[in-house]
Amino acid sequence: MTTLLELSEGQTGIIHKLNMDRLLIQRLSAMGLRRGKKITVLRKAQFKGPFHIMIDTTELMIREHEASLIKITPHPL
Amino acid sequence: MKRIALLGMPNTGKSTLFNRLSGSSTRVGNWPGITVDLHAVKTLLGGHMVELVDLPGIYDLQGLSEDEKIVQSFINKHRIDLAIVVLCSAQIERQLSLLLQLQKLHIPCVLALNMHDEAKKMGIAINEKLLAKMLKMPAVKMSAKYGEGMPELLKVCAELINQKITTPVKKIKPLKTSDQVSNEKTIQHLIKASVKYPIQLNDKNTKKLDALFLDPYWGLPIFFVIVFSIFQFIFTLGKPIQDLMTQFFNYFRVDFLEPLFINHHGIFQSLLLDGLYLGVTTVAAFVPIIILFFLIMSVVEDSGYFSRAAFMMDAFMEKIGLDGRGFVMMLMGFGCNVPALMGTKIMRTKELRLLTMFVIPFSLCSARLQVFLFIITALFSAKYGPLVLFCLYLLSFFTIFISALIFKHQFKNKEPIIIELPPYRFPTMNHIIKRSMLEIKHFLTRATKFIIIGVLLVWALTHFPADVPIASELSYSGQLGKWLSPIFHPIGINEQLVIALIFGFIAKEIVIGALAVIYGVEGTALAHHLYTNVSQIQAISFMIFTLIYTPCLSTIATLKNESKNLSFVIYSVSWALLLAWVFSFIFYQTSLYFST
Repeated sequence: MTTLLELSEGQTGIIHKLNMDRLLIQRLSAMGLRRGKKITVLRKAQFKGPFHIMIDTTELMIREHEASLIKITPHPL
Repeated sequence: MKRIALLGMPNTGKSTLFNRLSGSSTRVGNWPGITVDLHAVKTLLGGHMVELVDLPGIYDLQGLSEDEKIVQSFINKHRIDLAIVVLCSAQIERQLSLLLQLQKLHIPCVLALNMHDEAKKMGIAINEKLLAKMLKMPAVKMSAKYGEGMPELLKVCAELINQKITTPVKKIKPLKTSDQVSNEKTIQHLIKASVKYPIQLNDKNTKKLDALFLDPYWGLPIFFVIVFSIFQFIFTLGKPIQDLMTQFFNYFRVDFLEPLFINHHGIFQSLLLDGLYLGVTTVAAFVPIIILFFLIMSVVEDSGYFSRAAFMMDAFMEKIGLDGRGFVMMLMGFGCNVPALMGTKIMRTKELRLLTMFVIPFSLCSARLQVFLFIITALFSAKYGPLVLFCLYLLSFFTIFISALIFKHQFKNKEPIIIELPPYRFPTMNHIIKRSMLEIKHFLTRATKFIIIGVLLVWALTHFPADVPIASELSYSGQLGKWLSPIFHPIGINEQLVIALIFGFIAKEIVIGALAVIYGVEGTALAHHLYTNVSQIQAISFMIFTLIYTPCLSTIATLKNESKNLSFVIYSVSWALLLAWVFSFIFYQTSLYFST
């Protein structure tokens, strides 16, 4: 199992676990980041900047720190 | 007694609605089988006493989180006669699923379309009558925060609660995948029929634009070109309007007000003209810039570009405890600090917003630029002038970064920075205009009083005692200048310049005018007077202090409005004063050391 951090641009994974406290989970869930959801990294900003990700039809920017807390399993192709 | 439950996803304003419905008489209830405390209240509705319960915010009836388990066991163990399902109108597409799940359990529901003002701001129009018909339940557009739609919500609740329940409420059962699919389809059907979104670029075009705007090499240059064009637009349009207004205010004063009060006592006339009138016109001078700023800002935000800019600048801003949106606001501050501060509203996390507001006043705004241009042309040759100005801009950036770095632990952001990158949209004219009007109303209603009081205070300082020349050494401001001279002497700022700084507290636009009053000469004569009386080192020290110490009264008033925290304002102004003094001191003393 890896984290979102290790996905490269264009790769997709399935959210397995949100490794953080309840409040944070709530905030992420509000934006559609929930267990079992398919997540795709569209691009990464330069200089270790944020990730541009897509869940369902929602596109978000998320920082490396938060990305490292999202455990994912590979998406079955 | 009948029971009404408030249900909804987190951050939909459910608790705000509960507080509105319950007044202050909340009690913490104890429910058999429920492990946490839930807020509940008894209240009169439709002629009966009802019990109102605020359930935790959840995304899903099925989930396994603690809050979700609480709601599940509450629904399974306690009778609910009516559920008020609260949702955030702007996110209706994502939030209807919970409502459908509740409806399947045969719980009578009322749909509260909360934060409808926010949806309206985003150009989202919900046809609640059609939605209600399709869902077979009442739907009310409302705003718990501003109290809109409350009477109607209460009315439909009262009607429903008095009806006899025919179908018994079901227990929660696990959702099958087929149910989920059919729910999704229902939502899409509902949304398509009853919600109108602003014209949106389709997915393919959004992807194409993103490839351009977020390009690793071209993204940033494009961003800076866009910001530069915005500045050009605001100032090519705003400057003439501001000049016209100043002229008009001047004519109005000379041709109308002065003759009107000619027979009045000198002090009374001066209070009205140099005090009150100056205060009113100071406020008014900001109106065109704020309107123009928010016209442009709405376009940038609504189009979806704003969050793209934030995406590109975020890596850098993260290091100083801010985020990409803060960078955009900071840049806007180089035009005018006031709307830039108001624009930080988009940040939902408090600490991040405060830190951003803390550094914006260090942005070298156009008003300060005017002062610097006058002094620089008076004292420096065409060869060195631009260099001095450039260094002042560098210093402005430097003070922003140093302040953010020093205070980033104090205003430590505890929440994740997750920003939606919405599809690109065409902003609607209607919305853009409404937004600007709303912002200008906010500014005028909240800042006017504060600014006028400040102006009157400075007026009193410079016009009393009544028998001495205005703003002279003998006036209270002059005495204050003398009293402060031990502080200002080490940074090379003389007593007259201190009086100018006191004026500059109101607005930088009037510093030059104040110098004219203080020295008793105007225009080129004033420039010449400065040239012979103030050394270049003193002038630079004065400009450094002017840049940092405080932008203007309007900025301080806006800081107060937006933070709603007086100690934050005091803190921020004190830091600016301290930093201004330290930087001027370092510059002045080292320059003196090397020039002798």
